[in-house]
Amino acid sequence: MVKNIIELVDVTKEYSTGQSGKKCALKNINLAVRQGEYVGLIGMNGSGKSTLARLINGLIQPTAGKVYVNGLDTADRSSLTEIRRLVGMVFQNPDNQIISSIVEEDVAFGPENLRLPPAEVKERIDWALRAVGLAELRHHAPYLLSGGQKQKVTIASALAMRPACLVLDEPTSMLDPRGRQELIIKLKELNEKHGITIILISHNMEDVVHAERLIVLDEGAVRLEGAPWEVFTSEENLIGTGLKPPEIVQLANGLRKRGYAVDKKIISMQQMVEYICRL
Amino acid sequence: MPIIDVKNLTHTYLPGTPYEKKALDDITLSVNQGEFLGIVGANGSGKSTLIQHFNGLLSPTAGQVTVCGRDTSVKQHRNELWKKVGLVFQYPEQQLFEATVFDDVSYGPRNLGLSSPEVERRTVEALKKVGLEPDTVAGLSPICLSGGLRRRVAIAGVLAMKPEVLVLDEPTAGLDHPGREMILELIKKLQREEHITIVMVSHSIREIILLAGRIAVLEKGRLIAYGDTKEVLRQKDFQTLPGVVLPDYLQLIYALAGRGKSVNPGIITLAEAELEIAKLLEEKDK
Repeated sequence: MVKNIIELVDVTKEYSTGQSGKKCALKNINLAVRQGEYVGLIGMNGSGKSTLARLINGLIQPTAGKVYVNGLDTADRSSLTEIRRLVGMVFQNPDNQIISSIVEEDVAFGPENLRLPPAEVKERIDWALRAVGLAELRHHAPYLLSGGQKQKVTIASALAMRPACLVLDEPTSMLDPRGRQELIIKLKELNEKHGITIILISHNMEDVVHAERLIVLDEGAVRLEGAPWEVFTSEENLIGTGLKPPEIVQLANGLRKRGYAVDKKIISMQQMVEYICRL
Repeated sequence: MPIIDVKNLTHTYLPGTPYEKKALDDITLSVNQGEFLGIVGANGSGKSTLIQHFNGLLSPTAGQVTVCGRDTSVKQHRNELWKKVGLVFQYPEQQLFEATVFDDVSYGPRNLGLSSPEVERRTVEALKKVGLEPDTVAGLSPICLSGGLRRRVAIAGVLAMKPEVLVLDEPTAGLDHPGREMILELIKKLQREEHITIVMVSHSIREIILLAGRIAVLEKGRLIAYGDTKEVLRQKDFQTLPGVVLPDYLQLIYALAGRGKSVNPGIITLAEAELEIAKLLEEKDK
């Protein structure tokens, strides 16, 4: 049986908003992510995505309910070191989490703090930089890299901890379209080749077409769940979430409304070209 | 007469050091009064460097930039230009610093030495322009607003200066879909109703082609395409530029045209693309 790497049981998270009272960011969330799964977590600004991400590696604690990582309770302080090794986090702005002035030193920071022998640290750096495709830039200064490259450095630094799971909180929002595309392809590869569980958070549906499963968050609750094509084509359920399916799916949805029986599983440009040319 | 006139502009960062970098190389372009110019290019192509010349934050290493008839290399002119050219930086909400929305938006006009009723009038007007209700938000602290709202407050702060030219650097970056739509609508309105000249930088070609009459494409500091939006889009070599990722629906249309299907590649919007494909499917059905 495949284990659940992440489990949320009846999780509620409230923030206090000064004198005025409380804001409920997440309401009664029940969620399980299998080891090796690729999950896309989508929702608008303020839907609770980032709160969920921060709960997963114990950066914040739920107001009610439990969060388990590999069976370990994030409320148990003695488990936090292991939990944070298991769950690597990548945030929106790479500049906020790059700490060294040389790429390989940034990647080394985590393993060195695990007090691993130098040979092992080196091996992990080599592997992590190769996995994200930055091996040639290991001696560069991060601030001279492009946004996409910097984001790859943060992923390499997370990978050097040999995590079971990567949680990426809108990693593409500061990247240009080319950088975004590259990152999305890299994540798919990490998932397929290295079996790393990916939780990709985005408000851009085009980012999550490769996910096995999508979870749509709206006002702190799970609104919709399913394979990407199922979520993209259930237009009526997306109303009010502020989310729009990828443009190719919007186009296909439009064509279906005009009475053409376009296959619902078409979610990419290439699939659409092939489909039309086969007709 | 163009309101922004750039002639053979070259800008080199850190000249004479090992990090010397030519960020802009021989750029010539102009923006007319009331026009909407879109600037696109990959990260590091020189977009932000270029627009910082428009209000004299940077001065040319070589060449000339004239804005509102004034040469930006003259220091006195630069001091006037920040009143005429409003620059909205990337993530402008990070620059909010006052305790209340009102204080933040009124910071610019206050520093123009205007009377306090005039400052208040401009502040209220600017908040209304960005779609915020002054009575509700003026007394709030910017930090309790969402990212999208904070960005609107930041833009209001620039509008309160009543600029003749509004330059926006990636104004929609990091916003969700409704947030993006809202900002884009606002920019469109400012151009159409207030007749403000707009220069907008984006790496989203989709946003630029829907708004801008003309586009300038930068790559590695060079201007590689410049002109009427539809004409630039039609250029084959533009479509395949590494820094350019066209919207999927345009790629679809171009791919179909490339395979000999009868579709019109001269379209811009998703609705037009849908119509083209519908026509194609209809022919098949016959």
